[in-house]
Amino acid sequence: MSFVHDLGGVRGFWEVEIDPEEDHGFHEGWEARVFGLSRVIRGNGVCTTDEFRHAVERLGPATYMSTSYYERWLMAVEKIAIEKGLLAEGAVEQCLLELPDEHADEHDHADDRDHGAH
Amino acid sequence: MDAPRFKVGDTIRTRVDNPPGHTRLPRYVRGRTGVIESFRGVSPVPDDTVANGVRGSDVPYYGVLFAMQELWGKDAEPGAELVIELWESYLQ
Amino acid sequence: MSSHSYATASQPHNHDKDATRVALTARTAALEAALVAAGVLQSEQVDELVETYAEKLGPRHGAAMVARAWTDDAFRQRLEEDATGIIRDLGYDLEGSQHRDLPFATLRAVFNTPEVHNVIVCTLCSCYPLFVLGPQPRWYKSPEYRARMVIEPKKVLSEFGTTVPAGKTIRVWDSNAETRYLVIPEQPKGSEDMTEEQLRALVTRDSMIGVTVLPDLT
Repeated sequence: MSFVHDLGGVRGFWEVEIDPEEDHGFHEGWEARVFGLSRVIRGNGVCTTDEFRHAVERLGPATYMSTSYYERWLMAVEKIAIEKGLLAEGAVEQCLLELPDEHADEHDHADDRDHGAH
Repeated sequence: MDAPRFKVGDTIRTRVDNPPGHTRLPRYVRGRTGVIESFRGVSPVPDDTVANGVRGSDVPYYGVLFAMQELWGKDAEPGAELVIELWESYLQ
Repeated sequence: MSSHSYATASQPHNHDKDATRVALTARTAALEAALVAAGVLQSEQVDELVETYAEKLGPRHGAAMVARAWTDDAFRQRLEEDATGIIRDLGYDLEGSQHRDLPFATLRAVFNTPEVHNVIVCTLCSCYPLFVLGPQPRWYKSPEYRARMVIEPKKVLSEFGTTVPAGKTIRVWDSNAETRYLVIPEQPKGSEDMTEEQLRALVTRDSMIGVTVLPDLT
């Protein structure tokens, strides 16, 4: 068959969810930032657009189907940077620990998506 | 780069495969018969770019028209058709 | 809105949504910091990119193309034959703004007629003419839109409130490769005497993706 991102014609999805209040830009600040990171790494020659897309496709079926669009891009940027030897494994986690206080509480929520209470 | 193999109006059939790497030929149009809608240009094929790690030579690509019944069978939604863009290497 | 979206199981209530947003904001900041520390990029580059796509680009550019196509036959003809050439020569906003930092784009304008209704999708990811419409709406990137538009377009259009008359062909364009598409909606009846500037205000983003048509003016 194909990688799971190849969704044309796949059955089982429900109605398209349309938010009439939705505005025209990016919806979250972090999403805009991820978009920027993805474009800049390409512009800086780290990878081609084709390689970037394939990094998203290679996240694995369960991950692909349970994450939002820009969360996949966030993972793909990190994945490519590590695969290209530009970042060490764990470099991002290290930076999470070193972020200014307003982010510091959240480092242990980054991978814990079921956890609702702070 | 060779001259384009196909011209507008030609009937083509897409390749049948299941590549282990990147491709922009979705599974729902593999092994299907369609008609060349337009010659669109030339560029490197993404499958090769990712497999080889570098952009390759230019390959012609086309707009290709498919009837919905060709893609989904006799119960396909009537009154609809689909156009998708395919490099020559995607065509048999 | 559907009560049983595919995302129900992972769709958190608002408290969890906030936690997720905070976590993703933090991780994004951490990734950027790591990339800057590694010399891969500079934050100013990201700032500029975000500003371009969030502020300088938007559906008003596509609307300007549509309004001009409605009022200027020579422009319409060129838009049919060489939309890419138009944006190369006139800029994405038709006013010479080239945005030279943007990757060059291949554009095809597809015209709605009494016989054909065009609609755009990207089944493989979410390719879209950001350079003339700005960032994509959430639904365009959603798995349900990507999966269903190529197999049941009429049904999906009805979920947007769009009824395509019997006898009219729906032509779905899957943006899987180089070309990005801009739908040129039919000009609303009753708008024939409006100026190009007035017409621009009628053109919605969704009509240029093809999920809606522009209503006639009463």
